[in-house]
Amino acid sequence: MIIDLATLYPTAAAVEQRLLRSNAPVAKPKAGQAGAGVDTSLLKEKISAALALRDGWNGPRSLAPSAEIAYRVEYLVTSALQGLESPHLPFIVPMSCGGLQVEWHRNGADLEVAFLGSGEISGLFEDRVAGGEIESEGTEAIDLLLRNARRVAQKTDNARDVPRPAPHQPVTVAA
Amino acid sequence: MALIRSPVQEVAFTVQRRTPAPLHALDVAHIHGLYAERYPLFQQLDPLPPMQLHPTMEAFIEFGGQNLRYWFASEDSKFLCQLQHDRFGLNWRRLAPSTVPADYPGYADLVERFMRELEVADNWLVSRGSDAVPAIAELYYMNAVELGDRRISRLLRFFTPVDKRPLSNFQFTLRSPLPLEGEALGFLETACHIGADVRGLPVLFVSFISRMPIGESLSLNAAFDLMHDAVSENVRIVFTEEVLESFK
Repeated sequence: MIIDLATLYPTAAAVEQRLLRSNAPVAKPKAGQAGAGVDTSLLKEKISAALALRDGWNGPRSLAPSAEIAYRVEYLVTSALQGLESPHLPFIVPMSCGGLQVEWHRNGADLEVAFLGSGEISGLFEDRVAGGEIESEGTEAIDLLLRNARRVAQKTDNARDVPRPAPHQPVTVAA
Repeated sequence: MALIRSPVQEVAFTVQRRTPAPLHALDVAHIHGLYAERYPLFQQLDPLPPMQLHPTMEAFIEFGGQNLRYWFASEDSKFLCQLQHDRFGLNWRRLAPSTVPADYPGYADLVERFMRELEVADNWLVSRGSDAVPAIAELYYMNAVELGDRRISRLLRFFTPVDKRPLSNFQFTLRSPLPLEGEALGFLETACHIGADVRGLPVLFVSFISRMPIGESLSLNAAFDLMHDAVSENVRIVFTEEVLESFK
C-alpha cells in the first residue's frame, strides 16, 4: 500500500502542515466517548449472534432484534462497565418482540434489563443476599442497569458486606 | 427533527477551564438537579486526564481519587453532558448504523446546545465564587462508513493499494497544527482504523480530534467554528467522492 501524504494535504506548503507525531498510535476512543473503557469485541460478538436471527426465529410472529436496539444495548452495557477490569459480560437474550434482554446472575444478585422491540424498557434487580428486589421501567430501568451492573459484573465477589483483610495493603506515597 | 444521511457516529464538544474546581457529592447532586429534566440518567466514572495542547507526552497522576467524572444523559442516551472538576462537555451519539438515516442535529444546533448547557454549569460555578474561564476547547467527531465488499481505496482518497492481498489491520494517524493568523496554536488529529460494528460488519472508522486554546485572541464560539471548518475541510480531503456522494 502507498499512503500519499501529498494527496492528503495538497496545500501542505501553504498552511505549513507538518507531521508532529508520525509514529503516533491510533487515537483510541476516550473514556467519554463510545466504546471506551471496556473491550467491546466479545460484547459485540454476543449481540451480533442475536442480530443474526431473522423474523420468525421463534415462531410465526417472532421478530428479529433491530440494529437500533443492539446499538443502544452495546452503548449502555459498555458505559455501565467502564472502569471494571475484565468484567463478566451479561447474557444477551433475544426476545420474540424484536428486543434484547441483558442478564447477569452472579455475585449474589440477578440483574435483568429488557429492551423491548416497542422501545419500552423494563428492569429487575434482585439482591439474593440482602433480600431486596427492585422493579423499574423506562429511565429508571436504565438507571438500575447503570447503578448495579458493576456489582454483578465484577470479578471479585463483593456481594457480602463483611470486612475482610485486604490481600495487599494499598501503597501510600507522599505527594 | 429531520432524518439525514451522514457518517457521523459521535460528536463531542468539551471545554477545559483555567482553574479546576473540586466537586463534592452535594455539589454534583445540586448540579444534576439543574440538568435532570433534560438529562435524567446519571453515571459516575473515573476522571479523564487534563487536555494538553501539545500532547507529545501525556501523563496523568490522580491523588486519592477525589475527582470523578459525571455523566448526565438524555432519556434516549443520545445526548450526554459530561462534568468533571476541570471541564464540561456535551456529546451526541447516533446509536444506529451509518446506513440508517439519523436524527443528527448538525453542528450549528449542537454548538448552540453546548453553549446553553455550559452556561448552566458556568453560572453555578460563578455563583459559588469559582472561576469558569475556559482555557482549551476540543471538538471531536467519529465517523463510520460500512466497508461492505469495497476496498479501502474506494473510501479513502489517500489510500492506494498496490496488490489484492486482504488487509488484516489498518491504522493511520496524522496530526497537523491548526494555524490562527499564521501561528500554529492548536491541532487537528485525523485517525482511521478498521473495526466491526455491533452487527459484526466491517466498518471504517475515521475520527477527528481538534483542540484550540481559548483566550483574548480567540473566543470559545470562534474556536469551535474554526475547528469545525478544519474538520469539514478534512472530511473532503480524507473521503473519496464515492463516500461523500453516498451521504448526500
